[in-house]
Amino acid sequence: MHHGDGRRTRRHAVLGLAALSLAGCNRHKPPIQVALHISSDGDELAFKPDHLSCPSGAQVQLFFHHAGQILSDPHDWVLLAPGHLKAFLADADKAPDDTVIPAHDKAMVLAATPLCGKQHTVMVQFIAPAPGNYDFVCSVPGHGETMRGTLTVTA
Amino acid sequence: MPNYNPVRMSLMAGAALFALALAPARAQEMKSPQDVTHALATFPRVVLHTQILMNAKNYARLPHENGEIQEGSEALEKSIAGEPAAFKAKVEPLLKKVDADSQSVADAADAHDDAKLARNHAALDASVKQLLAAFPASVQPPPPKPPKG
Repeated sequence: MHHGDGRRTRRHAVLGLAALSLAGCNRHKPPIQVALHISSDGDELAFKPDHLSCPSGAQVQLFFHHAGQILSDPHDWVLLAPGHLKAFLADADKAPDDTVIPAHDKAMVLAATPLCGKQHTVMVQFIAPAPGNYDFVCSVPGHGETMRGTLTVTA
Repeated sequence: MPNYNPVRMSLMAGAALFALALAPARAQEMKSPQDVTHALATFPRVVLHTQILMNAKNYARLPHENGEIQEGSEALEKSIAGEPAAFKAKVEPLLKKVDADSQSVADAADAHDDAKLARNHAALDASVKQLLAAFPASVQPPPPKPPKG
């Protein structure tokens, strides 16, 4: 066996190991982590900003801050599955209290923060869904008519 | 001997007129304009939110809106605490009318009386407009964001 053959074999082995380890890295690649920040627009029933974006599959930490100064009504941030905005709001507007999302509406919800009091901040973690535009709303009765926005999930 | 120079007299008269013209504007300046605007903004917002809940026939939530009017009233009273007594005397009855009309909406909600609710809500809307009109243009809040449809 020539010296050259041995070097070639070793080189191939090293390259093969490198390729395997890279493939392994790809398989266990940690998801992209994204932090999104959103608040109420002061005491206005609106989100600020009302448009967010993140890549699909990202591990999202969304922080919602209640920036109200006078009105003590709580807020939350609820991400809806596509096509459910009207049905969800119809139920939310009729809800007698703001403490729970009705059980039959939970299937419409992809992610939701807990209710947030004035000048507090709450957080929810979720994996960003498939690419597309997703409505988000405040589920407190009547708020979602003006307090809503869009999360754009990119490929 | 007094100087009756016509040019000097005209200049003095012009200066006096200018000072008079500025006087009302100065009188309209408020001590905490941002706080006043902020407090005033709560009233039309609650009127709109009340209408949304009325449309949804959410009678249980309507008394809660009355609580928000009280919060706005307290914030407004605080924001004008340093204003002249004459101004506060003008605002006070208008604010009391808003509070009373808001209470009437809550009462009609308890009775599930849609016709009375509509009348009382219209009265609340009118009294809020009267209250806002008592304040100078410089502190008027922007209108609330309309429903997105």
